[in-house]
This record gives sequence, structure tokens and C-alpha cells, in this order.
Amino acid sequence: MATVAERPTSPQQPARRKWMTGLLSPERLFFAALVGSLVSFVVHLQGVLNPGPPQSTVLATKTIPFFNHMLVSFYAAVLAWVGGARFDDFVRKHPQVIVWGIIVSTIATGVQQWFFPNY
Amino acid sequence: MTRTLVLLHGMAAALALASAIHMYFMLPKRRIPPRGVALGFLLTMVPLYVLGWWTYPEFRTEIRFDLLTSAPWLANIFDVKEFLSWGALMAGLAVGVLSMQRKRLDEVWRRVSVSLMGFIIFVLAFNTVVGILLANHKML
Repeated sequence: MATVAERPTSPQQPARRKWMTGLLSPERLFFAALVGSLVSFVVHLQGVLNPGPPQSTVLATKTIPFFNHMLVSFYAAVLAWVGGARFDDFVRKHPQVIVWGIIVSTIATGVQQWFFPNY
Repeated sequence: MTRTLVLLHGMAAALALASAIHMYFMLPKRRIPPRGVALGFLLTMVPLYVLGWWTYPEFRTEIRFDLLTSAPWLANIFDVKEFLSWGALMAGLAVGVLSMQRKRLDEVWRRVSVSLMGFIIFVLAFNTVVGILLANHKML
């Protein structure tokens, strides 16, 4: 009976295993957080460039654009988390991009909201 | 009811701030991050964000409308707080899930985790102050 080490593997298995084990790696987790905060910045910028109805009108409706904003960046973070294997090497080589990317894009989104309160 | 939830939200913020500071000082000391501290941090973040999400719609319709005329700076700074907390949540989840695994972290990832925890502490402290300002303004 073959042991785990001797078990024959198909050519597809290593890639699948890398994809699975990589989900909890620091590279992938931090990359997902970086993409989420960058997309949050871009979505807010899009709102600044294309302002919607006046705030009083938005307030009267049940729709809350801020929640939609958060959901879009959350979906982007999940996509980056699941499918960001090809960026693992980049993140490993440039960890400072993670730290500064998250900090700067988050603060920049807050600053945008201060100067262009479009929600 | 909402007043009670907001009060609980404020208490959860103080707890999350305390657990984030604990995590910040524990991470550089241990090669394998302490799972209990990470779990405590994640568990305090959950009620904080759930309560915030729950009470936000009522804040928009009942409080923010008045704020835009009586104290627009406070309405704006409160919105800034919301965006900062969203960025801090994603960074906090990454650090928390990583620290829960009881894996020996490379020095570089330990430094990234500590730096991000510093940022999360800054955001939580800023948000707590803004929340207290709003509570005082509306005499909750």
C-alpha cells in the first residue's frame, strides 16, 4: 500500500496544492487587505469625479452608498485573496508596498471624504 | 434601543483598542504569535463592527441630517472615521488570521504585522475620540 509520500500525483496537483495552502499565507492575506483598501480609494475617487444626487436626496432614501462602497472593496479583497497567487512573489519581495499601500490608501480615502463628502 | 446599541458599540471600541495594544506589544516578543491574544483581538473586533453596521442606517436618517446643518465638521469627521475603520478592518483581519495559525513568522512578516497593528491602534483611537465627540454633541 502506497504511503502519502509515494502516492502518485498528477501534473495538476502541485498547482492546486499551492493555491490551497497559499490562502492562509501572509503574502495572500496582506495582498487581499492591500487590494481592498486600494479599491476603496478608487471607488471613492469615482464617486468624487461623478457625484450623485445632493446629500439631502440621498439621505431620504433607504439606499446607503457607503455600504455599497464597502461591499465593492470587500468583493475585490476576496477576489485578490482567492486568485492572487501570481502576486505572491511580488509581495514577498516588496513587503513595504503592503504597509505603505494600506496606510496611505486608507488615509487618502478618509481625506477624500473630508474634502469631497459625497456620501 | 439604538442608544443602548451605540453605548455597547463604544464599549466594544474601548475593548478593541485595548486588545490591539496588547497585540502590538506581544507580536515583536514572540516568534510564534500568541493565539489567545489574536483570538481576543478578532473577537473584540466582531461586536464592534457588527454594532456599527447595525446602527449606521439610523445614524444617517436621525442624526446626520441635523449634523450637516448644526455641525458639518462633525458630520464630515464622522464619515472620515467610517472610511478609516473600513481600511483598518481589512488590515486587522489579515494580521489576526495570520497570528491565529501558530506558525513561526519570518522577521519581515512580523515587522509588517507590527506596523499594521500600529496603524490599527491609531485608527481605533481616532475613531473612539470622534465617537465620544459625537455622543457629547448629541447628548446621547
